[in-house]
Amino acid sequence: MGFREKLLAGERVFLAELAPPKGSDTTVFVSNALGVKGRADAVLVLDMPGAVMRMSALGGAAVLAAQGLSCVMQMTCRDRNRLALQADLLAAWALGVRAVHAVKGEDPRLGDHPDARAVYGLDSTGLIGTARSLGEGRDMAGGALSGSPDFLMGASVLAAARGSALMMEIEDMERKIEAGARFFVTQPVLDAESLTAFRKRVDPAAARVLPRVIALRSAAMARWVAAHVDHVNVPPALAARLEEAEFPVTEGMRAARETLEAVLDMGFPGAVLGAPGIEHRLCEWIPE
Amino acid sequence: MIVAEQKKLEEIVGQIQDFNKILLVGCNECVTVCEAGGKKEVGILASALRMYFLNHGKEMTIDEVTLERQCDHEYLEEIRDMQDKYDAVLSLACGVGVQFMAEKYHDKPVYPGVNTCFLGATEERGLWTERCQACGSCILAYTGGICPVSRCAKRLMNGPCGGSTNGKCEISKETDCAWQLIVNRLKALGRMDDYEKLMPLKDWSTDRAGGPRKVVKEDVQL
Repeated sequence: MGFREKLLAGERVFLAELAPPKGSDTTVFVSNALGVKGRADAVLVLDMPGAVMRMSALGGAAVLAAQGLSCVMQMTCRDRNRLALQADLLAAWALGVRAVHAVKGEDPRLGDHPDARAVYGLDSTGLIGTARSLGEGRDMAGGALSGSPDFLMGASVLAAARGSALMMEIEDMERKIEAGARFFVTQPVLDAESLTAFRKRVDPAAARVLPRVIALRSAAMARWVAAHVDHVNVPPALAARLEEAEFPVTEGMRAARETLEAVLDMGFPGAVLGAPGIEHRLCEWIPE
Repeated sequence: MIVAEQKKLEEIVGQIQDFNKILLVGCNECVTVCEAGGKKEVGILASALRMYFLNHGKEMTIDEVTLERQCDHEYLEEIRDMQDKYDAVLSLACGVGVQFMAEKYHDKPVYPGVNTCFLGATEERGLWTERCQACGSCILAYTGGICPVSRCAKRLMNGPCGGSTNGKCEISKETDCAWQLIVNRLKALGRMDDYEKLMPLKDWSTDRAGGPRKVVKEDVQL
């Protein structure tokens, strides 16, 4: 069974997240993706994460699809108007992409091209609804399509939010489900406890919420994430553990594996697994 | 100035029809010049609303006041006691005034009576046209004083596109091609050498795309 079938059947699913290359050479990217083949159900191809310019997710997903890999294409609303978003959805389907993770995208100021103009022609909920319209054979203007894509659409949820912010996130999830979202991906998770409040209010299996479990590669990375990435709790014990470890990369993966087991115990129906900067070792900690 | 136009009566009615006492507040600045929300427009709109609600059998009090500015704490304070007596405020200021009013009177519903359109000029009585998009990094020095950001449909920086025909833009035969205007002006100024220069890539980080902006002038801060 593929990612879509397993997800919709309620079976456990794992996605491996990979960012396409900063450059036109896809050798390492493909090699890392092939490394998780057979372990991950699909590769989540990130779309210029952190607003850092890289090869597009569409390009990256097409490269992997040509290698016979199942892909979830992340799609940010930041860089395209509604013409381009629809056009790229059609292209993605034609190139073999069958699932899309719709995201708003970070502001260009946070990336390596702060002088870029953001577009946000649609928000992510609008993009999900647009994909549904395309699936029904109509574009946003009502024009008929010759061939329509039937994407499995996903969205993001800030599952580590607290208090009223968490309630707003849950309301946002409901809107996205109404628009057509069939699964959710959380913000990076470094400790399962940060999902406890969310877990009390949402049935993660029913809503198909996949925590994004990340392996840190060093104590310096832990400090950087703590200082610069909002909504990600970096447990002090994890930073200390990486500091003291003889092999911090291995230790980071061990900690991520523990977090993964904890979120699965909490009832989450799978996870997105990431290892920024050490993607070639991602396959080592994806459960068989 | 900020150019605005009044919303249709039906939309305004839809916003306020559940209340019984409305304070209609005009502004003496930009919206007065573009005849959308000054004292005169406040009077006309108030009469139209009274008539509407009278015809529809609803008791509705609409009182009028026009402030010097709605984008200024000092003038907004003038209605502090007054606004308490009303269910809601209908503001004919631009979006800045409406928001400043809502921030100042946090518990009071505030509704916009105009659509804020652009930064523009009065070309002739009853005709206002766009001149500036407040992009935050002005390039008028290089374009003969004519702005391609606000006046070129594609915001092009290095000459016209293929859609420019007989000095008009492809979006409408009534719209001047901004780059034709720029070339004409540079010719008149004897500065066509400027046109030959390649414009550096536009820095959009000062534009709205970079999030809400602010200007700080420390030497005048209290």
